[in-house]
Amino acid sequence: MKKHFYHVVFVLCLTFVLALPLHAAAAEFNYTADVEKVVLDNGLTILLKENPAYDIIAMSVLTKGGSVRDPEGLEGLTFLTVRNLFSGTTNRTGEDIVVELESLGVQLQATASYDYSAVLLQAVPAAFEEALAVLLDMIENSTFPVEEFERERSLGFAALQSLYDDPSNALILEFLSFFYGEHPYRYSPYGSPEGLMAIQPDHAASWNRYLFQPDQVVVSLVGSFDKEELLAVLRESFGRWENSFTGTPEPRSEAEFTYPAEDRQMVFNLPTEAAFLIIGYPAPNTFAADAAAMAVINTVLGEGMSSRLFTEIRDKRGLAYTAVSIYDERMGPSSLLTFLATHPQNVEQAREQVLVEVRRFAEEGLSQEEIAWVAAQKRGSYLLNNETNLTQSVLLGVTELIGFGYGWVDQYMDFWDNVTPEDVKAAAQKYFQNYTEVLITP
Amino acid sequence: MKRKLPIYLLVIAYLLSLYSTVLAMPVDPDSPLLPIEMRILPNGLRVIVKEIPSYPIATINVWVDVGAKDDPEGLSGLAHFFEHLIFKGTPSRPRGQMAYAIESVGGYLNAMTSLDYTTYFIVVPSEYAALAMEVQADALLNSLFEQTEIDMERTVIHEEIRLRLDNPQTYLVDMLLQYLFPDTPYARPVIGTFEELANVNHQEMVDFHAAYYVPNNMVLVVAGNVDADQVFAQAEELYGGMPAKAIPQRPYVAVPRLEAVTTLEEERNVNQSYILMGYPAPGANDRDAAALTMAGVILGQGRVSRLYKALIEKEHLVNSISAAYNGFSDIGLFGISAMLEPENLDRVVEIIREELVRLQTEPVTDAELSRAKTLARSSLAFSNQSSSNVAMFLGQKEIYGGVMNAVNQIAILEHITADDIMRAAQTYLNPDAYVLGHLRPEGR
Repeated sequence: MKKHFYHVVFVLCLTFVLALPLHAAAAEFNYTADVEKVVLDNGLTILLKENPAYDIIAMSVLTKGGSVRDPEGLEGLTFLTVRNLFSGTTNRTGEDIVVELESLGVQLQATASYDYSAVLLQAVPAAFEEALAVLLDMIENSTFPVEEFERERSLGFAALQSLYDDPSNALILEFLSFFYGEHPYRYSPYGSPEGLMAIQPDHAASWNRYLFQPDQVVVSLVGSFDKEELLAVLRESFGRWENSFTGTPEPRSEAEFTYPAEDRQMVFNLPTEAAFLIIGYPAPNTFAADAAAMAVINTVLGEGMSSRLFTEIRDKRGLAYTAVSIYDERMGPSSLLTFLATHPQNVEQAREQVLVEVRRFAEEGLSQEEIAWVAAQKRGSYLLNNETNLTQSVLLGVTELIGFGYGWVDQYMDFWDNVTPEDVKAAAQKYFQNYTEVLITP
Repeated sequence: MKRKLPIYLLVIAYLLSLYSTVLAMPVDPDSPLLPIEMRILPNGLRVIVKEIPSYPIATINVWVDVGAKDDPEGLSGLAHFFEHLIFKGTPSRPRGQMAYAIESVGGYLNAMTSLDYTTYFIVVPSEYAALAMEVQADALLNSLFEQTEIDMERTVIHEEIRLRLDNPQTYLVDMLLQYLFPDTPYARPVIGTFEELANVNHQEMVDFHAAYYVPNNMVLVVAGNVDADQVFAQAEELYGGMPAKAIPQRPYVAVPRLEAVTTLEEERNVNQSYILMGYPAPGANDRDAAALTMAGVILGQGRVSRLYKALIEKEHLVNSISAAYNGFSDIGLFGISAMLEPENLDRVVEIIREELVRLQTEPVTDAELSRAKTLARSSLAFSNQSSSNVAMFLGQKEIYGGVMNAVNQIAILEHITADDIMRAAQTYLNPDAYVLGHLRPEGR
């Protein structure tokens, strides 16, 4: 024990010496200093940041329309709509679109998430304007042809089904369904089988107009370009957008969510080799004052190899290969969940260990030193996660889209400094009262 | 075999003198990966640095030329097991302290074992690059391999095996290996087996370390906002004391020739069928590797690829399709995978066969070839924005015969002709000799 202590002291000293910065590159790095923000007359917001380091332009077209707004009974509409942007326009067939984009060496993807959706583009500068023309055609003039629509529906349906073929994915889907009850967050962005089957091409055509209402859209660009030259092109391109959504189908309104005051458990017996366990708790949403405290808790609990779940469950006890926690932070009701895969015989021991570790936050809280450690860790990992032009364009765009403003991207670096031990304890006591557990086991 | 190499040889001179001969082509001056610097320590450790000053992070990536193919008989899974233990403690850092040191500054560390190689990487804000290099070197040089840690980690690997068994796609890959590469060291799964993992103890780890974790069998790649001279100096300081040693000889592995179709079928609790068709292929350094890479794109990558159009757009027989070449050191694998309703299997296999015959008998069109090359170019350009991608790419190519293959990747692909693709398809994609793995939904 004593030997171990000396080891730790030595290691901490060594770490400190080696960790002295040679220069302050990371501390000085600023994502937003040169960002230009322009709001067009139609309400669409454009963010531009020049980054000549790579000969690439990344553009994110982000809309507030996420799958949580899918109309009741049409769950999966956002997903199917953005998927079918590649199916054809009044000017191009689906094949024309793909051939043109690929010949330009452009990467273009359209994705639906819970709280927003995105069309993401990467291109070399020489190809950017042509790629932009294709992208605009896809958003402005998509025809949602029946044959292609049916094919995409079928592929989407199969993709949703295939998630259930891997028990790890199946567990997460079952957890979300159980945790959220009647709230639309219970569906993955793929929607539901029933919803996917009910959606018609006309729904998608109308929903496309809902998604890309100009005052609901942020276009964020980072890359090798001249801001003024590009802005002129973007003003011309996006300035012509008008709000033409008729109100039908009706977006789902904000749903109530009440977390039950009891522990809940659900078990699925499947022919698996391992047992898969999620224990989840309610957690603050993105806008809540205690979101930072919950993020600190999550880092200590289950992010990385020095987290408590990793060290206690995997390192010390060898109970699992995967033992992590995830703070599933959303604009609406959110959760903190622990996930582990273990031998079926070890489920009880692993579960007990998870519950012990979660309870510790409510009982013991965290020290100021531990919180400071998390703050340093968060600053570094933030840099690591936002390295490319595309990730930076998404980061700037999303913070603007959800109302924080793009300037928050740099403020986030200091987000953790204000968290106190009292905040951590209070958040844990508030949220870690009742859990929802889903187990898949043979 | 010992090679005497000059100290701190400047990379370009070294590369031009050695690799350009091997490749019979000049260095691609337009490569987005240039400039890079490479020096070789007197003990044979190759150090490659790619300075990326535009963003304040750095990736420290060590490659060791040892993988599952080197697992001793009866100790399947040893290379991977060893990799798990490398961060489990040194005299100066008990278990957990390496991860703690790196995560304290916001970085992360991880490792990966393949059939051919083992790689360890740490990504950190660049001001902590020196710390990361020191932690990594401590792990690689001074790990204790304590028996208690080995016994604990064995149970963790058991759980990892179960996870692979539960995932239909990883299960399929492991299922096919022994039939694709029979009687070769590539036939065994990287992760090993429950039975043979039981035989691994402290001494096996120490012996494995002594045999393969020697400087002349390792490559250190650092990419990011670093100063190359500082990296070379620290590399010398950290690794310069390691003595070079002869590495165990490996027999050359010839590409297996299959004579017929082998079908492996199992029922499973899945909603649709998963198939993987495998064809033994040449190693990563073979000229046909590039041709097969192009063939994979033309056949099964993207919405205008041949198999997508035939199997999804025209007849809608599958729910997903992909084709790709994966190269190892001596041999490789060309794989075609799909998800489908089980009743469509015969027709799907028939169409894939037709497309392979077409690839063997008709040159691909200029448009198809051009598309494949454009995709390769843009994919590399986008990928190069990440220091970890750059480090991984440079390191893997160095292990597989030379970092110049990374620098010249685009030029190599640009030189591929329709005839090259046809010849490679004729040589390796035999429509009547492959291994088909099929996971079928229960009762269907």
